[in-house]
Amino acid sequence: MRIASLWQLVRRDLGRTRGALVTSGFGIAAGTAALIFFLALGLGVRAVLLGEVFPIDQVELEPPKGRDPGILGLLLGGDVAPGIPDAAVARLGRVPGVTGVYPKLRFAFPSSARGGKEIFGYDVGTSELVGDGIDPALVRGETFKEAFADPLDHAGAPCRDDATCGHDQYCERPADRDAGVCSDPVPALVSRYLVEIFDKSIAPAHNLPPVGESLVARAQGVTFTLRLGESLLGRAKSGSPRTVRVRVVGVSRRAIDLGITLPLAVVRRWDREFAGDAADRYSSAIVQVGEPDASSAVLAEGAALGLTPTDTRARDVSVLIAGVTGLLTLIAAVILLVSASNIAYTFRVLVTERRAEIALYRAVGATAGDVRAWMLALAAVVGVVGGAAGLLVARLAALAADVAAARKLPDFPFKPASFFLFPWWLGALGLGFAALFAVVGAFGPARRAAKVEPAAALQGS
Amino acid sequence: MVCIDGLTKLYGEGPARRAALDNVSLSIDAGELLAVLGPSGSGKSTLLGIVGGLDRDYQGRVTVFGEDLRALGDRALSRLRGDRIGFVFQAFHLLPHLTVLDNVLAPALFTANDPALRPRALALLERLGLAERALDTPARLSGGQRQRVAIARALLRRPALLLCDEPTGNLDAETGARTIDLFRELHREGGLTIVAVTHEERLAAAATRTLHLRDGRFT
Repeated sequence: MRIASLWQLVRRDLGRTRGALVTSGFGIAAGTAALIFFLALGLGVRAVLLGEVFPIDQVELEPPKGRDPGILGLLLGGDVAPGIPDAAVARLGRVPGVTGVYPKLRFAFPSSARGGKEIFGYDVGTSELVGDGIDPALVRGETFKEAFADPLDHAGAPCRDDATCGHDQYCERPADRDAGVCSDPVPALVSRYLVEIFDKSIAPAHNLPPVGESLVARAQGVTFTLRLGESLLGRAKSGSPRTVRVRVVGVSRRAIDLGITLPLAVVRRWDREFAGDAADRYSSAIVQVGEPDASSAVLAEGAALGLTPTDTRARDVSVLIAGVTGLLTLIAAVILLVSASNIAYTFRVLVTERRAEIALYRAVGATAGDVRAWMLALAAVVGVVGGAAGLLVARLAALAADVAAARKLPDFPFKPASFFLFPWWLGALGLGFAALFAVVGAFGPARRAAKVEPAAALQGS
Repeated sequence: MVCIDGLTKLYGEGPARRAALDNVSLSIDAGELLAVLGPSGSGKSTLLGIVGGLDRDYQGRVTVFGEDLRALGDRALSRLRGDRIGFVFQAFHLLPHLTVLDNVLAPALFTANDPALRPRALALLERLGLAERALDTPARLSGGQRQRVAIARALLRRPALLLCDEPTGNLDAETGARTIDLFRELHREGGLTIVAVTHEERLAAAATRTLHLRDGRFT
């Protein structure tokens, strides 16, 4: 049968059987709305949690923790802290699916910081500051107010102290050397997590203004001093404490959660100055994968190298979200199944009522396949229309839920503007499922319609 | 055109089983206007349904246009019905939700796209005196008009064989007479082969051949 003829038959049916079909379509719409709503919620929450809180497109591997040295070990000096050598980094880079390996180097020395007058009106300080160094390539593509690179790549004039350098520069000079070079403040990145913690917890407690998403703009030019080799807890075993200048240039999800992240070369230089050999072995390595599935191979290779993932929460959260979304989707599927049985009933009645009409069409040339196609096409259209209505309802319900969440839920770290994600394929999936369930429901009645005996039906028996 | 050999059709199960047609043989030539007469329950409509390929549950052999109907697949049989056979029923079987024109065009839904069918439908309605009722629904027509719409529908695809089941059964005497005249006209003008089962003697009078069926057998 021609598509135009099929559509003509379906269009006529939509007009004359509107009531029954709307009732059937309502069930499909409800099921589709529930399905899409729950899936969009799962996707939205997953995007926030796995995209920003626990990124799943990367695995951070670290060496095993150092052994407990005991009292004697503490007195005599413990083992050298384990680290990741360059060879291991290269091996990880050869794992299939890996798009890049970016080693990190932690501060292997005590440090503290003070600054923030530009934002808060007065300096605030931290008696202990942790930090790490990353390869600037890891944040390539992210936009910062200033370049995230070792300032000594463009070192200034020789200097003996900060006073001999230009405005805003400092003299980068290890204490045991007579001369240094003038340097711009070292660029630093902070994590969104740190910003969230500051905004939601620290700022209210200290009556400070939140920095929020506008941190980059507001912190432009915010320079603070970093005391190297000395903190409240003590001094570095080698080198002499000194002060450098650091400037926050941006927020990045690659930055350490609680602390500051600097260019790798800077931290390596400082680690050598204050911790000697520690600078030769990386404290961890971020392995980026093209597909989340590739992370299994990375974990296996890491295990072979004696490395363990720093954080398995991404995997745990992923499983949890998948489980909850699966459960909710199951509920939606049950609704769709019920609506499919409703469709089945409606079409059974429809076929019974239309035996004579079906028989007449058979008499004038319709094949059994034409009759079956007619019924299934009608069901598919009911499904698609019901599905479209369901999609609309899901979008409206999501909008209402987001508005309610914005008004009723208290602020919390990473609270998203929307808890839902509606990629284009979700709409297609909703329509597809709606049509599928409607067609499945109508399949039995359609077969029955195709088997109508024309002679008997036309004689009214 | 139609060859029936040893046709038996049984209804019912077990002790209630009975023969609607009992070893019937018949040959119909092209151009005949055959009237099959018989009382109700004699097997007339059953015979027509089998010849038209609407019922394939029978014993014996039935060939129409040289095709053994039972040997044809559903698609081929449907094509044969659509292309070469027209049906006129006692109950008209018009679709109440469609206009007169759309009822006449119903067979066009199951053929390849043929732009000539719509003008032909309008021409048929014109000829049968229903041109002005083309956009009415069947509910607004009289019995005779409905039967003419059914005839127009049966003739739309220029069938070679027209099968009529009690075509005047639901019509008053005057309308029935006009319908019989119409069949006679169609037969004379186009050489259409018409098989009409009826208990109406007037239709038999217009036929080129008359057969009587009683208890499933020709008498």
